[in-house]
Amino acid sequence: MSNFNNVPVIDISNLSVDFQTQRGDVRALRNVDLTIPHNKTVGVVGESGCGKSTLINSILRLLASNASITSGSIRFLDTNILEMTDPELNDLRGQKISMVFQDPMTALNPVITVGKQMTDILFRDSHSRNAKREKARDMLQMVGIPDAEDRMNDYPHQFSGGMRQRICIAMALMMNPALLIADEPTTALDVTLEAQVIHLLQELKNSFQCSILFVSHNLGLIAELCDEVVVMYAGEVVEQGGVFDLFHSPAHPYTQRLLECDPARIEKSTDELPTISGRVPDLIELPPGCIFSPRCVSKFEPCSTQPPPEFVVNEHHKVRCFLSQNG
Amino acid sequence: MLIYIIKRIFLAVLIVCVAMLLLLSAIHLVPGDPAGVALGPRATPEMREAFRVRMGLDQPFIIQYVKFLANVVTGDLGVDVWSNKPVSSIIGAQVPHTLRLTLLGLGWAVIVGIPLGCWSSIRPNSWIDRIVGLISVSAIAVPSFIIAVYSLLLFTVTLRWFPAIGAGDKGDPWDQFMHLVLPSFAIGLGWVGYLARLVRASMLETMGENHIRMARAYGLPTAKITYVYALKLAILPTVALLGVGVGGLLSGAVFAEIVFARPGIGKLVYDAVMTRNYPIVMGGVLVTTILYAASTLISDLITAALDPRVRENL
Ligand SMILES: Nc1ncnc2c1ncn2[C@@H]1O[C@H](COP(=O)(O)OP(=O)(O)OP(=O)(O)O)[C@@H](O)[C@H]1O
Ligand SMILES: [Mg+2]
Repeated sequence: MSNFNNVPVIDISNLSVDFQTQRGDVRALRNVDLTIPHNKTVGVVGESGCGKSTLINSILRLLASNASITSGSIRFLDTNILEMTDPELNDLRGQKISMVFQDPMTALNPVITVGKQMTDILFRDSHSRNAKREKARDMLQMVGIPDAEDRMNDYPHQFSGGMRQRICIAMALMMNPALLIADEPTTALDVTLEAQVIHLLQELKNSFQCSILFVSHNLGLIAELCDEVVVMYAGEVVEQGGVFDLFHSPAHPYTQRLLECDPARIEKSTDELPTISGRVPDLIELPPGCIFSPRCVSKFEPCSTQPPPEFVVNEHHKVRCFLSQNG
Repeated sequence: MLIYIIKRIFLAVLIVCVAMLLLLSAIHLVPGDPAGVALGPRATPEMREAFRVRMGLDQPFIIQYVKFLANVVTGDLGVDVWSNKPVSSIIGAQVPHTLRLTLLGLGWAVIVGIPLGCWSSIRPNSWIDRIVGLISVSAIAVPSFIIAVYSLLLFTVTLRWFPAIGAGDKGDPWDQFMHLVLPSFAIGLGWVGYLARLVRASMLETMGENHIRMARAYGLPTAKITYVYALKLAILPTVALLGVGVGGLLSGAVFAEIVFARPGIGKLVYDAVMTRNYPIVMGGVLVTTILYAASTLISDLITAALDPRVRENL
């Protein structure tokens, strides 16, 4: 892999995804660009429904059957995932890219033991059953499941939600993937468990040589864990950049609002959380100009008529907003 | 687990007792004097009285019931009104015929119905799915006596592929099997349709679940995902349905035995009802109830074996 070190693990360019529905085509992703460099953690943040899951499901080509990818490419190292054959795709899944799903309560098969589900992932290996079980046990120990050896014979319902999420993470690490995707891995957990899982991810980040794509709507977690941030709004990437840059000098009004809304960053204690007025636009009938303009407080003349191109704030920091037009 | 099995067996025994109570009351409520019907109009009152005493019909209802149950426990089902042979041995000779027919009918349903359901769930709304759907619904809709009569006409009378009547040569398993094909097909075909529909629906539901998407995300082979990860879950409603469905198959077997003139419990009980041979009727119904209770017991145990969550709550 050393010869790939300057090629990003994932390079998504101009990706658009539609969902066919009764009401018309839902334009869930539009012209999304995103790169994940080696050994970096990239965070994707945005409100519910902005297309985060759609984005990562496209990477593993696990989109629902009514979805169609209308433009763009997703390159894994040097191959376009969208052009892969089924065998190539199966080779990629789990082995080179693995995924931790949004809801740990439903992500594991309820009638198969945890140990079996873990060792099944290694179906490509020729190792003995015992060797595979040892590997699974080590992984469970690493994510902090006590009595891992015995508990491998247990079924998912015998574990708590936090433990299940840790099992999912252990499963994702069974094959030493080049990229670990975590789709809101803590949304279903309470605050204590959330902290545990984040702590675990932080440790893994240091001990495993892999890139992480971390999806969340919690800015605090992103700030803690990620090197780079991608802000999504209604199916578009509106701003992306280094964590420090983006959190300290957000250029897009949506990012600014998001940061203001983050409860952890509110200094004065008030009863009221600031909110963004208005609603996410309907993804079937899109407004003509900037997608955020109907809710934007700082909008001016070009915003409602033409979509903003990408402006460069600095080498890593890019934003789609006319406010940044003049540097 | 052991406690659960004991509890379930106890429940099965209870089902049998209640069924027998219902049957005995039904016999009592039927108008007409069993002795009169059995012995014919020319019997003298003394003969009828003797008959009643012999059959225990002179005693109070509840005593009759308890006595019957007590006799059942010792394996004594009384004697045939006409031949005076023990009912247990008469029925014992017929049980294997009915059991074979029912199991083969079940076999059709399982061996053909489940794969058909899986198959059509793999590509919903494909032409395979549509054809399987059409066949299943027709198989459910057509009454089994129509299938019995027409399959007799087609395969026996016209094509002469299968023999028509009876159970076949005693010492010749192949001949016996050939005699079973049409009747078991007649009682099993509707169940093939049921199972295909049910398995399809539960497979589609399971395939949409999160953990299946996760299995896909790990690149597990499609066959493994379909037949292990999904089917092990999707089969659960089918197992539950079949436990009860064996009751339906048993009653299907009764008429198939009549149409195909096969020996078996159904034929035996049918003839016994016609001649008011109550000990045989009681014994026959007792045996079918036991078979039914046993099949629900087995299906519950299979469910517990497949689903750890059920096992947990036992
Ligand atoms: N199968 C589908 N058919 C039609 N529309 C869909 C489908 N899947 C997703 N969508 C729509 O696409 C948009 C993006 O959905 P997505 O699940 O990617 O959001 P998300 O950012 O992951 O949200 P959350 O934070 O709630 O998980 C939503 O408007 C959703 O309604
Ligand atoms: Mg999501």
